[in-house]
Amino acid sequence: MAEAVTYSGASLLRRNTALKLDSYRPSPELVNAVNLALYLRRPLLLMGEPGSGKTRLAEAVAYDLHRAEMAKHFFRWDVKSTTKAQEGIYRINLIQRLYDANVKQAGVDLNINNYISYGELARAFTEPQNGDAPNVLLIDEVDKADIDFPNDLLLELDRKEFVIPELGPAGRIEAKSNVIIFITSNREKELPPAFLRRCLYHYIEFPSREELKRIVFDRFGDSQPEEIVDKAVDTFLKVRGEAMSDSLKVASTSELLEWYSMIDYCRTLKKKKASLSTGQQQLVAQLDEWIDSGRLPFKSVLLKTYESFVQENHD
Amino acid sequence: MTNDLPFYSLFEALRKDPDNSLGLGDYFILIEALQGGFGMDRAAGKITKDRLRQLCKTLWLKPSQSPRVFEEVFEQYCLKAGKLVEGEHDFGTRAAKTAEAQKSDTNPPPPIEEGTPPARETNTAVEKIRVRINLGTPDGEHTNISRDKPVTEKRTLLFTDDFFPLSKRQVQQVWRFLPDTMSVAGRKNLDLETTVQAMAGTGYLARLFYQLHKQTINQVILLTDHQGSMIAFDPLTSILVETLQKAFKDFNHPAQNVMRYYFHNVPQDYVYENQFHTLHRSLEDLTAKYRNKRCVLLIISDAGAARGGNSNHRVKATIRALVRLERITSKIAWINPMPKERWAGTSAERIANFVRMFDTTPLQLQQAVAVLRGRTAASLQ
Repeated sequence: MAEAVTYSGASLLRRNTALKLDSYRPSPELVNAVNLALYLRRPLLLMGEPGSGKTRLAEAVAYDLHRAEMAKHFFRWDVKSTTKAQEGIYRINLIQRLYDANVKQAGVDLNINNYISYGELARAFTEPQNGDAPNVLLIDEVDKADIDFPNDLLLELDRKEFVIPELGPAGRIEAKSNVIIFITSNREKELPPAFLRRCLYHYIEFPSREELKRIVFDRFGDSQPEEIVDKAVDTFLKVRGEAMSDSLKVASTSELLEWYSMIDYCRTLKKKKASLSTGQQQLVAQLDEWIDSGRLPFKSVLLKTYESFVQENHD
Repeated sequence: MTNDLPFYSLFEALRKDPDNSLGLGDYFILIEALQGGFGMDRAAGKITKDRLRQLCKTLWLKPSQSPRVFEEVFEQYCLKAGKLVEGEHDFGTRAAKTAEAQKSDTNPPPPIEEGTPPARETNTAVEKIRVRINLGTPDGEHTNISRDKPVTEKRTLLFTDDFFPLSKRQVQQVWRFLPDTMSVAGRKNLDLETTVQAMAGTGYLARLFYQLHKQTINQVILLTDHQGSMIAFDPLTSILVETLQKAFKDFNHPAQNVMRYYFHNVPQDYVYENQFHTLHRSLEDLTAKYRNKRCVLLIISDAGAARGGNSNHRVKATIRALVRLERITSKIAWINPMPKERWAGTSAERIANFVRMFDTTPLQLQQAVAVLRGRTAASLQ
């Protein structure tokens, strides 16, 4: 195994709108887990609160390995409740083939291969990789589908091959490229043990206060004033602490960044010399109230349950 | 120092946890990872405890398991193994791999601060002391409660359900057989369809076909002891009750509405529909409601074994209650969270003579299920 490929874990510092990437900073344990998965050629199962960056990690790794070529080597399979395992592998348009056979136009090739289109997983296995760097496959929110879904993928995950029965003996297709597979789950349902056995597992912990500050600086630039960032992170942690009773409905990292973007927007509004519309004035007023008296601004971003709204109005 | 099977005893210790499903393949993958240079401090070339723990967690800890139990086992292993954990290990191809891994990438990674441990624990001022009910070390010795942090002024006792002798998965697998229909030996029904088909085939009625009568549970009644000495077993009771309810619900079974009643120490004259004892039902009410409905009755209580007392009053009152409950159904099973060894000399031992009592191990629970499904005492034990 010539496995010299590792994930450097370098943080993505600025938004890359061309590739639709946001800033991202992985923890050392997470980087280690990714490198383990790369070395051992096993899928990596990621769990964590919603908004903790599970999907972002796969994108960050794809960028790290492939840079600008990312679009050709990153495959994303978003799982829905109706998803079946076969959809990720192939789709076959038999009706079209029947129609073509009946119409019998000249120049129509009835070869069944023309009617088969590969799904994301099959594409990840068969499209050429980038030198030594493997393709990246993300199977997002695998627990949304029904309980059999992860078990249906065992052959593909284990032996890196898939089967298209309609092609007969030629239908057993092995992966030509190395693939690193990221699987994310939100814990809505329990995953079957046979599936878990084949995966490495990492739980993405919620960042510490210092890490949260660094995340804000990464995204919004180092020129943000430290006191504002401090105050923002403290307010955020306080809201989070109060809402912790139901951990699925609590604000996470992505909410912090959205909330802070409102703060940033209002600060730029204040600096503008031109006059503001009423809506903009209201927003700036919220910001000022927060700075002066600590009243929580832009509540809708951070508060997720009715109870927290009531509690907030009490304080 | 070459070690033929490095960390194998750690692997074995982890396998003892009933919640996991580790196989030999998982052990080999650890070796593979160690050969690849994981689990060690690259610069020093030595395995460090933290990195090894991280590696084992990523490889072996699955979402349904408790991280605390994992850490506990790991700490115990490190205490026993001592110097064997850290230090030089020869894994064959390790040298070649670390050389390759140190090859510089196009983007050198930012230096990760080694000195700051991830402050993931939520509250450093609080120390958790774990209360253990049943410690399952093979030699039966008591192990020290490991302390990671220095003792501070404020101590909070926290309850953890990590160390019970039963895991949720095991209980689920036992309850799984309750909703099944059971053939009642000796009773046969006429299998009309098969008979008619055979008759259509031959043209005349040659013989009758029979089917064994199948019966299924119609209603499950749970009487749970709570408060007092049963507070310690609250998580265990919860596991039993929740998995029981789910077992029927998953099949959309007629018995899905498991009726749970609460009592304290003895279900004397009344049982209660809620924990606060504001909605009462007398035993006569229960009899009237559930008689002849093909119910089964499960009682979860320590029967005095938790405190170890032997009370005539308790035994008599319990037996009187049992006699009245037997009018509802003969399929009664009593589940005692205390292990069997602790029943001797207590009220539980005496009560066990009047009702089929089982403790909370998977084997005993299976027998309880057999009783509830109608197996006779002759086929048990």
